Amino acid sequence: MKKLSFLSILLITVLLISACSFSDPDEPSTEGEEASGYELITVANPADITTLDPHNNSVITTSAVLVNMYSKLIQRDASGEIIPDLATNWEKVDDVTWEFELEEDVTFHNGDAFTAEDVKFSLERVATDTTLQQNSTFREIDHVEVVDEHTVRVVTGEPDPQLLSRLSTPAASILPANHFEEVGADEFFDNPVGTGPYQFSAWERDDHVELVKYEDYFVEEPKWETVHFAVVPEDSTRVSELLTDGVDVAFNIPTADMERIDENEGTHVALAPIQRVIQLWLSTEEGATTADPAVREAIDLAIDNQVIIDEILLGSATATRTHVTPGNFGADESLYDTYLYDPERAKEILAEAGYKDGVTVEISVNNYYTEMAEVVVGMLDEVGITADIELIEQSQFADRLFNEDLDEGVFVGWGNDMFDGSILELFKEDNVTSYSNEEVEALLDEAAYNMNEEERAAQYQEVQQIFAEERPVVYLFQLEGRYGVNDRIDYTPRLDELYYVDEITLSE
Amino acid sequence: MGYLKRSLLQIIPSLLILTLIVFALVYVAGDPVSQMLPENATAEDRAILTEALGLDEPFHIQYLQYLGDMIRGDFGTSYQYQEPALELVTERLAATLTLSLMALSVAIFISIPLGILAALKRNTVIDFLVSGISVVGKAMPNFWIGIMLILFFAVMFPIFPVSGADSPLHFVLPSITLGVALAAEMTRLVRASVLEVIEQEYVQTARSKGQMESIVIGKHVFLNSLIPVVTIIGLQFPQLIGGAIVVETVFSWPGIGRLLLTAIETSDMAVVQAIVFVIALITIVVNLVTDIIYRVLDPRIKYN
Repeated sequence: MKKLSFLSILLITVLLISACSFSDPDEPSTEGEEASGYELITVANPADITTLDPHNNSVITTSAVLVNMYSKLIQRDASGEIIPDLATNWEKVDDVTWEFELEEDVTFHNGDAFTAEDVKFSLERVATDTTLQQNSTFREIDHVEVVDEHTVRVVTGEPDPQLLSRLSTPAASILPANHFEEVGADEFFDNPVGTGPYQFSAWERDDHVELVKYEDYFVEEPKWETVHFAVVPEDSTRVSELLTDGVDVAFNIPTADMERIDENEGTHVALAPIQRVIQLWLSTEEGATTADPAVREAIDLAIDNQVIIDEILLGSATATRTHVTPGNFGADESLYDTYLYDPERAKEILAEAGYKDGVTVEISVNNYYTEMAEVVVGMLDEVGITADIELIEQSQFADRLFNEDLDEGVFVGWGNDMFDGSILELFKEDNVTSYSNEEVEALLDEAAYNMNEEERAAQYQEVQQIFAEERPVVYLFQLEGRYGVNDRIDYTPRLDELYYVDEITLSE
Repeated sequence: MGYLKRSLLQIIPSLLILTLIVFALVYVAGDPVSQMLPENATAEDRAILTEALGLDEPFHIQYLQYLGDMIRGDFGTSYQYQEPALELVTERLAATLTLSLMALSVAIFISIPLGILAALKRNTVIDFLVSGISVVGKAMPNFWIGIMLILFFAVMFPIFPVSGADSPLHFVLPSITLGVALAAEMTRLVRASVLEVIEQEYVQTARSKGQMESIVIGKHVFLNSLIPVVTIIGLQFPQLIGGAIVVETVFSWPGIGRLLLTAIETSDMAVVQAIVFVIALITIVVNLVTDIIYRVLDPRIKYN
């Protein structure tokens, strides 16, 4: 009897809850007009945005949202080419000065007209305030000159071949000078305005960010009425949301769910290379086993990159022998989409170098890449290299990495925000692996200030060839971004992992 | 009142020690700077930001600075969010408390009827069934329950929404997920407690007077067996908030649990401190309230 009454109460409660008609905020009302399909798009990210301040952020999932609100002088297209944004034209005046002609008739979301003063204010803000996370990217900028209302000159302290790369990152977003100074940073970012296609509407912390169409966008009328960036941290939940039409795009889906999403009616998986390259840094410090070039070569030859790609990533990666992959300045394509694997030769090399009893190597890895590192350990074991893994939680890993307090092998995934060969400076003097090569130093030093693009690209390519030969780092593969996509939309993921929502259209 | 005053005074040293421990742990665990900067930042870039944030000061200076600010009500600013830490916590607190209270209701709603039933039908199939179910309920990790509930009741049979916290329907699956383990524990406790009370002389007396069984159970047994249940609710409430960290992640619930997780991952000291402080405060308040409810339920308990 007791059990029965308990069940009936449960039933009544459920019925009562279902009966209350709560309007779902995810479904904007479309009464009275025919739905075009462009009413709402929902993109699910694993993490919430951390800030609305583009100058104080270095998290891609945050940038991916903010690029829809703010514009920059220039931007990159999906393949990485630099194209106009707020600037219509630009040219190098001399080695330290670049001149930009600006779009006219552009307004911020609050109605303020966009002028050269806004560019000066925004770039100088991020270049001078050392508490901002992106200050390091813009410190090369000495000042910005306003030539006239629609022309600016950006002046750097030293010749800076990377200036255009810097100005095309989301961190170079332009904010309205007058309005910002009038209300102050705190109030401004409570209700931020930019010149992008979508304007800020609401940020429900850890739930979603809502953007709405900005009718007066200077390029063209934006496609979508409302954009939701939903926060769904748990992978399996994000997949479930996709399968139940709760979201249109689910970022970073587990490889294990790829087949399920493709087989489900109404969803598919979209893959695209991203900037992250998985790599194994090898210490060349005296005393380390890996200081011997023979051991480093044997490690390279022992690893079958394609097996890891096929088995763990189900094909969603491309083998590489360089960090500077296609789409990045100075890429050496002869080192891309290829890898060395010859376990027999690896054994020979070790034998020739006199390691009769095998070699022991310690490898540090963080919790993101443990599974891959374990497979590598198995492969090393096959050729007589005993590898011990030290698993370190991510926040400590970053800390210890920069304090050079990790093992002789460091298994990491590393991006390249600047799309530039200068990422190779990771192995410039005083680096984590203690690698030192005078030729590399000279090439990197020159390339850093070389304004001749052709020469500069050749310098980076030479460094990549030297690294491939000397192996202070063994590159394994470039990852692909894995997106679950609803069939109702047409979405091609980008190399930079940003969502320019207006590039997403309804399927034909 | 003396008791209350003494308890309140004891809170201050406890909280002080707590802030020191948490501060030391976060300090040792990692450095926020390396995670705040872009990947191509140099050692010089890190030094500049470290100095700008005041993180180059020695531990004790940083701690005293923090403590001084805290006493003035300033819990510091989050590195990640660049906003006052306490504000970040308070704006998410309601979501976590609501979830915890809903889970508690689910637990009470399941455990009291089942516990009483099991006790009354002692050593029958029903009793074994209830005991078995509670063992299983206790043994299942709640992230797994959450994922299974989503799979069955949101994907295969789309009755409830998958995740989020927009409407009352969104409450159902997370509350059940978080409440199941507590329900299992409480069911066993209610059963044991009812069995103990049922043997008491006053219950026998009530029965021998010829009172209806439902009155005997409802009036004499039920209320008296509640005392240990209240204890366990008081003890379990902070654990419920701990469990919320996992459940909030599974169901994308915008509460402090998820905030804490991100803050620990990014060594966001101010936020970790503020959350631990708030949870500690809630624990203390809940314990006080539990003590007071005791007195109401059982006038024999006196505090001196």
